[in-house]
Amino acid sequence: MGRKSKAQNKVVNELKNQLLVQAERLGIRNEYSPAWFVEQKVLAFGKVLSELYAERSNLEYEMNMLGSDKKDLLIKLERLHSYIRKAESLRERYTSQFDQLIDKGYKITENTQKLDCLHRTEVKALA
Amino acid sequence: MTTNQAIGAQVGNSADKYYAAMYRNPASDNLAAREAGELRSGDSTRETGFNWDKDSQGDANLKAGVADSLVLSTSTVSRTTTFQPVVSTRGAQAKLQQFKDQLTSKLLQSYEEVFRNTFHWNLPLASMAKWSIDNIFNRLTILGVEQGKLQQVRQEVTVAMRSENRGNMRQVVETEAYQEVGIA
Repeated sequence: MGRKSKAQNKVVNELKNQLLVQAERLGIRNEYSPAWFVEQKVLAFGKVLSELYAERSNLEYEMNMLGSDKKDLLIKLERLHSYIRKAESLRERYTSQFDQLIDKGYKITENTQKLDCLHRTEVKALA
Repeated sequence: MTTNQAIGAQVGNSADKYYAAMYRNPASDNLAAREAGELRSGDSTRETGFNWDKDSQGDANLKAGVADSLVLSTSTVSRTTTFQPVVSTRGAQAKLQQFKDQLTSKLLQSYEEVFRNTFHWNLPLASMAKWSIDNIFNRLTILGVEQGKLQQVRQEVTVAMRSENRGNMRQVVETEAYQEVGIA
């Protein structure tokens, strides 16, 4: 990771922390669960991918035109493909992570419900 | 006859001196002129509304200019002839109302801004805003702004800020996604 990207990460993290503090004061801190962040990440990667696909179609259209610099366009396309592959793999990773979180959340909810049911049965039996 | 005229003149002069001395008012604007002899006692209208007029014989007589009457109420005493409250007070009341409305609107605007700052991530700034909001709240209460109105302002600001916070957080997540892909 380069110095520039490190600095960018630092700025983004600082912004995130400030927004979380503000959310705490606004009473919406609970909304920002890990599942929310992962879901937003999946959506964000979808947006990134749609932009990359649009750029790819533009480059391919340019390739088919007469008088264009084919070599330069091929280099650009190759670089773009690497970005697309990376974005797709990241989206898949975050999607599976999201599914896991949902399953975990569902299991937690299910278990809580079961515990509640058991507790009620126990109370009835004692009565 | 001559003697009578002389006596009359003396009486007239002494009456002038008497009334001039009697009604000499240090606050009167005419005092300096009267002392210099430019004005005589009957030449001006006094603050009481009385007039000093000279009759055919040259004697000063007191005449009521405008009849004053005291209008009594439970708390105030007003002279109907000294000023005209109907026209002048109406204008003043309208201006006062306008001033009050403008002040209320500005204070409400400040209240909104300060209330917004109470959610700021910076703790000293948020504390300062909390302190300021009490002052503005007191002034608004004095101006007669209803609690419902303030509650509405608080509600609107809170809803708007929550929405803004969610939008900003989405933006941050999106930026993170771009960074992860490697697009600066």
